[in-house]
Amino acid sequence: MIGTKKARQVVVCGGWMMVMGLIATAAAASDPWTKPTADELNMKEQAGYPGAPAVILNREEITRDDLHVMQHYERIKVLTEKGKEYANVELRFASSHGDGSYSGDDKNITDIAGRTVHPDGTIVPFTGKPYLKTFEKNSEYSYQARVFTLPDVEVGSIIEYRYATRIADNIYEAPDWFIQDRVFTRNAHFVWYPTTRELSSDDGTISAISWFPILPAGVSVKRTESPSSSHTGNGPQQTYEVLAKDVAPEPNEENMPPMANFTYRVLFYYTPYRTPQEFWKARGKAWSKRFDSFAGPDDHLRTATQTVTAGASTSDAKLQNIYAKVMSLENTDYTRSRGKSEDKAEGLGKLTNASDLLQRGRGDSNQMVELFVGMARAAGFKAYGMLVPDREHRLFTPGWLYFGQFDNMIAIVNVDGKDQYFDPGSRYCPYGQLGWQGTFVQGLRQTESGTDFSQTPGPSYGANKTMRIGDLTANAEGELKGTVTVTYTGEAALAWRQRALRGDEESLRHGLRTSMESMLPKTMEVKVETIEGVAEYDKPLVVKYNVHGTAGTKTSKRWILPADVFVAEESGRFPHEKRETPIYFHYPQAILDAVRIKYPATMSVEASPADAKVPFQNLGSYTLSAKSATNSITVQRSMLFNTVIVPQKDYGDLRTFYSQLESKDKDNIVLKAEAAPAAAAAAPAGN
Amino acid sequence: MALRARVFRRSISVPCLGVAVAGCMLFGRTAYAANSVPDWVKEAAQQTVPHYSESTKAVVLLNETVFTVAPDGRATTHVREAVKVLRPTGREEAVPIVYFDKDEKVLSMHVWSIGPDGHEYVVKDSEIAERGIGGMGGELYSDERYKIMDHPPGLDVGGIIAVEYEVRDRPYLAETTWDFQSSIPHLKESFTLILPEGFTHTTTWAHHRVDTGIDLEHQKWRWEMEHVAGVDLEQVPMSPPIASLSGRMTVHYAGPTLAEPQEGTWQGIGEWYSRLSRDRVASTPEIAAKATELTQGKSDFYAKTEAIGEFAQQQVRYFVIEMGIGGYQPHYAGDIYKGRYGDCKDKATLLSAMLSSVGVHSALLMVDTERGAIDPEAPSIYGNHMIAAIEIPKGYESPKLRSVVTAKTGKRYLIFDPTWERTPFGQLEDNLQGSYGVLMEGSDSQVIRLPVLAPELNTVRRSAIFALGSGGELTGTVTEKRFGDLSERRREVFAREDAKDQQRYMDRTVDRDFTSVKLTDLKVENVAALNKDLTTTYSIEAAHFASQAGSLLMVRPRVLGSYAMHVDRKERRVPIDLGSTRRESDEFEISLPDGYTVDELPDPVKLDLGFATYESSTVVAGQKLQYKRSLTLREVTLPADRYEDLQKLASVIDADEQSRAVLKKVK
Repeated sequence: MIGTKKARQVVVCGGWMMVMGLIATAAAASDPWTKPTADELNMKEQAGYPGAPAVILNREEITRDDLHVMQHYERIKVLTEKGKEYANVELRFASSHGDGSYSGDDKNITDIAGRTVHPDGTIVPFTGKPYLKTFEKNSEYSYQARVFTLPDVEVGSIIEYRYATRIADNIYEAPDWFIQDRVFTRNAHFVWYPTTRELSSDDGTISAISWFPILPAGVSVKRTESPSSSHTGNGPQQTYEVLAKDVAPEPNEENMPPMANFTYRVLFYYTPYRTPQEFWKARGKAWSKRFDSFAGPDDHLRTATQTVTAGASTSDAKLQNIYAKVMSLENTDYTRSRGKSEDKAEGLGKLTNASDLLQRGRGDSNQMVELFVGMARAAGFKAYGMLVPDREHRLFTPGWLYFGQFDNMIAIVNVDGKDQYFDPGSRYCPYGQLGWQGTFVQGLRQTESGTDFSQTPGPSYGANKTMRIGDLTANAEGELKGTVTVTYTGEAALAWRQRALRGDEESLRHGLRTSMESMLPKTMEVKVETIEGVAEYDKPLVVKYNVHGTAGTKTSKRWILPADVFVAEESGRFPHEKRETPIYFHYPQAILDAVRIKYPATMSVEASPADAKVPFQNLGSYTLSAKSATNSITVQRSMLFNTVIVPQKDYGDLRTFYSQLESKDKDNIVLKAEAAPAAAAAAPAGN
Repeated sequence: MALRARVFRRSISVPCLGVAVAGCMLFGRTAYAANSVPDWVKEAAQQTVPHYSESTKAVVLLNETVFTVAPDGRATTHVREAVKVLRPTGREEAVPIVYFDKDEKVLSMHVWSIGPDGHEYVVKDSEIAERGIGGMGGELYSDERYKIMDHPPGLDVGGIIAVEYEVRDRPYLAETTWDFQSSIPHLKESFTLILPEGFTHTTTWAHHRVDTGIDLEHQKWRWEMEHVAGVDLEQVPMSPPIASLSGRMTVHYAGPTLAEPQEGTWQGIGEWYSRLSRDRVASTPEIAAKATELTQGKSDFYAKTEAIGEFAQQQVRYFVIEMGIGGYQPHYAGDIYKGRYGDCKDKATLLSAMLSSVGVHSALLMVDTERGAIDPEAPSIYGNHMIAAIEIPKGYESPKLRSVVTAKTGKRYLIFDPTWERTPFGQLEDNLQGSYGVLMEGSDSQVIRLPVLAPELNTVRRSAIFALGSGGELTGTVTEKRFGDLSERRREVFAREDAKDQQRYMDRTVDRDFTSVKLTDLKVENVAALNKDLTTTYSIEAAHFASQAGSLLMVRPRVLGSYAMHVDRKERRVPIDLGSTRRESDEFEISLPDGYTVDELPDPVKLDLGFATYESSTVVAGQKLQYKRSLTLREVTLPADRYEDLQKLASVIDADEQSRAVLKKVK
C-alpha cells in the first residue's frame, strides 16, 4: 500500500478522561439492551434467504471524536448451527509504541458486555472475561484482539454485545461504516460526531469532512449541525448519520469481480482538500515528486544508459535494450529483500536513487519501474510512472480519497509519438505488455504537468497463447505413447516464469508435470523432457513432455479415445444456473490444441467428431475438427476468449457457450479393428 | 483437536518441566557473541554436505539440545541449531522460530547467519518479532506464541542460519521429547540430559530402535546421531502423517523435589492426567438434572449413553480457549455445561460427568488425530486430542456398540468422540481408527489400540433410473444413501449452509460427471439423524451425456460418482494410508433410445486383493442397460509393499469408470 489514510492531530486534553467516565457511568445506569419482540424470538428464517445462518437484527456504531471513542452494538439472531459461530467474537485492534508508520493506529477495545437471549426469552448474561490475543508484537506496534464467546448459544438465540473502541487522545480518526455483511441486516444505524476542534494532518490544516458513500437505494448520509458542541463548548457540532433497513448480504460467487471495494459503505475523511480533484492532484504531485527524485536520471544513470543503448538504431531498439537490462536485474519481490547488514557486507551504500539500484543489481518491483523510467528518460524518451491497483483484489475508485488503493507501479514511455505501457516491475513480463493484474484498469499516472487519471490497455487473446501439440502413437495393446509440446506466450508463460523465480528448476518441473498430469487421462504417465526459454521473456516458453499409458476404453472390437486428450478430464466451468454478479476473467487468451494419433495398420477410424464451431457473441469462439490420414487422425481444437468481464445479463449465453464446447470436448474417436484376412485369422495369436 | 496443540516445530524440543537454570555448563562459556558468529556455527558450516535428492530443501547441519533439570526440579532447554538452505523453497526450513506459552519463557534467543558468499552476520535481538498462534480449527484463544526472525540475512541457497536459545520449560510434567527426525535430513545432532543428584530418568523411543546413549557420569547423559534421513512426504500420495514415521525420544525423570515425577510408563502418564482432571469431571446438580432428563424412560445402556453422548456432541459448541496448563487440563464440567461450549477435552469431560450422574463410568482417552503418531512403545503425553471411553456393563451386548475396545483389565469400553459432530454414536471417526490412545484410568491407565470399523459402517449407496435420448441427452432420478464418515461432508453442507450454497454444492458434485447438467428436485432426509442413512434424491437433466460418432452412441454405464484413487508411479518407501474402511456401491438402470441397439458392452470386472474388492458389471435387459459396481476397503493402512496392488486397484477402477457401452443405430 502506498500512502496513509487518516488525518490526525496532536492535542493534549487533560479533562476528557473525566467526561468519558461520566458518559460510561450514565450508559451503565440505563438498560443497554434491546427487548426482543415476539417476532424476533420466534423467527426461524429470513424471508428470501432460506437456510441463512443468522440475521443481524441491529448494528449500531456511534463515534464521538471528542471523547475518542467508537461505541459498537451488535444484535444477531442465530438461525442455524453455522450461525452459532457469530457467538465467537474477535475484536482486533492495533496500538503503536513509537513514532513509526503505525503511529496512526493507537487503539484499545474496552467496555465489553454481552448476553444471550433464548427463544423462550430466558436471558443468559456474559459474565466471562475477554482474553487478549496477540497476533504480533514488535518494537513498533502490537496487533491484538479482545476475544470472547457468548454463553449458552443455541439455534434460535439472539446474541447481543457492546464494546467501545478507544482511540488515543492525540488522534482523531474519521470513521468507516460498513453497512453490508455476509448475512442480511435488518437495521443498521451509524452516527458520527466529528470533533469541533481544529485539526491538522501531514497534508495541512483540515478544512473539510468528505465522504465516499455506496448506499442502498433510498438510504443517504444525513448531516445536521447544532449551534455549539455539547461536549466541548467549541464551534458548531456536526452530526452525520446513516439509517439503513433490510440490507441484502454481500454478493459471494465464483469468478466474481473484486467486490470488496463496492459493498455498501460510507468512508469519511478529515481532509484539507475541498474536492476529490484537489486531493488527487496534491497527493499525486507529492508521489510524482518522490518518483522523479528516485528515477532521476542523474549523470551516472545517463552514462550507464548510454552503454546499454549503444548500437541500437531505433527508438524502440533503445528501449528494448533498457528493458532487457532492467529485466536482467534481480527483482527481490521474487526472491527476497536484503537488510542493511547484507548491503553493508556487500559494500553497498544507501539506496537513494535508480542509479544506486542499477549499481546494486537488485531491487523491488516499484524500484525496477523507477529505474526503467529513469533510464528511458536518460535515453531521451518521455517516460512516466503510473500507479495501478491489482485488479485481482480491487479496482481504483477516485471518489474514495485513499491513496493506498494502488498496489503496483507500471511505466509509460512515449515511443515515436505514442504512449506505450510497460511492466518492468513484473519480472519476465514481455516487452510492451502488462501483467494481467494491471490491465484494463484506471490508475494515476504522471503527466507533463503533474498527474492525472488514466486507463491502462490490455491485450487481446492473441497475446496470451497456449499451444498444446500431442504427437501420439497407439499400439495394439491399447497404449498411447509419444510427445507433447506446450508453447506458452504472454500471461501463460509469465505465470510459469515467475513461479520458477520463486522456486527452482525442480519445483518448476514438478509444477509443469503435475499440470500436464491433471489435463491428461489419469492413467497416463508424464515426464518433463525439456524446458526452453524460462528466462527469455521475449520468447515463448516451450515445454516438451514424454507421455505414455492407457487412454480411453478398449472393447473387443473398438478403441474409444478422447478426441482431445488435453481437455477430456475437465469439469464444467459454469455449473450453476443462476448468477447475481458479472463474470470476471483474468485475461483474454487463446488455447490451441492439435493432437495427432497414429494407429496400427490393423485398425481404422470408425467414427470421429463432427466439425464444430461455436461462437460467444463477438467475444469468443470455439472450433473442433478432425482430419484423417493414412493410419493417423489429427484433432484440432481452438478456444479463443477476448474479454475479461461478462455482464450478469449475459450469463445465460456464456453458460450455453461453455456447455456446448464442454460437450464437444467429450467427443470420441472410435478406432475399429480391421477384419483380419482369412489366412491371418487362422494363424495363432501373438507369442 | 484441542488438547494442547502440538506445534510442528521441525527440530525444536517439546516443552517440559521447570523454571530457569542459569547458564549451561555443557556448552562452556555461553557465547552470545554480540559482534561475531560463534565458533560452533563456523564449525557446523565446515561440514561436507552429502549429495541429497533434488527435492531436499535444506539440511540441519547441527542440532545440540541440552536439557537441564535443577535441584528444585525446574528445567530449561538450551538449543543450538544450524540449518543450510539447499533450495529456494528451503528458506522457510531455516527460519528460526522458538515457541512458548504462558508457562514457558524464552530466556534468550540469538540468531547468526553465513551467506552463500561466506559473509557472516549477527542479527540484532531487536529484529526478532513475537507472534501469537490463533484461528486454527475453531480456536478462539490460545496463549501459545513464538519468537521468530523472519528474514535473517543470507537466507539463500547455500546460506546457513543458526540459532541459539534457551527456554524455561513448563512446570507441570516431568517429560521432554527430542524430535531428532523431521522432513529434512539432519547431519549431526545430540541431546544431553543433565539431572541433579538423586534424580533418575528413563527414555522411550518412538519409530526408532532404543539407544541407550552415553553415560557422561555425574548425572549427565548424551545421545548422538549422524546422517538422520529426512521424512519428506510432500509429493507422496496417500501418505501417513510424518508424526507416525519420524523418530523421537522422550525422557521422563523423577526426583525428590518433583511434584509429578514420571517413570516413563503409560500408567504414570494416566495417573498424572487423572489427578489433573479428577475434580474437573465432577458432576453438579444441574448436570445431573440434565442427564436425568435426557435418560428419562430409558433403561437400556445404549439408549442412555446415546442420549447423553449426542447431547455432548450436538449441544455443546466446539470452542477453544487454552492458557498454560489449560492446554491439557479441562475446564470444570459445571462451567462447560453452563456455557455450553468447550474444546475436545471439555466436551469429553462434560460427557463423563453426565454419564457418571446416571451411573455410567467413563474415562478420558488421549489420542492423536494423526494416525500412528502415538507409538505404543513410547509412553509420553504426545497427543493432540481427547475423547471418551465409556465402560460397557459386563455382559451387555448390542450390535449398536461398534467401536469397542477391551482393556487389559478385561473391562470393555465404547470409544466415542463428542467433538466429531457428524460421527454416529457407537462409532469412531476414520482418522482415529487403527491408532493408539491413552486410557486415563488412574492406576489402570494404559495404551489401547482403537478399533478399525467394518466397511459396512461407512457406506455410500447410489441408485438411479435414467432415460437416454437418441441425441445423447440423459434424464433421470438419483438416490444416494450415505452413512458414517462418508456422509460427513454432505451432512455438514445440509446442516450448515444456506439453500443457495447447498444447491451450488450439489451442482458441483454432478458437474464432475456431466456437461450441461441441471439438477432439480433436491431433497434430503436425516441430516441430523446420524444413525440413519443420509438420503439425498434429485433429478438430473444432462443435455449431452452420450457422445455421438457417426451411427454410434457411446454411453458411460458408470453414469455418476467416482471411487478414483490418486496414486503415482514412483517406488513406494512409506506405508499407505487409505483414509478409511468403506463400502461404496452403485446400481444404475438406463433406458436406451429407440432405434439403437447395443453393439458392445464393457467386460465385467472382479478384483479381490484382500484389503479391497472391486466388482463391476454391465448387462442388457430388454432395452435397458443395467450397471452395478461395488468397492470394499477393509483396511485403513497398508505396508509399502502393497503399493503395487493399490496401483492395480486404482487402474482397474479408472478403466472401469471410463468404460463405454457402444450403441449402434438400427438400419
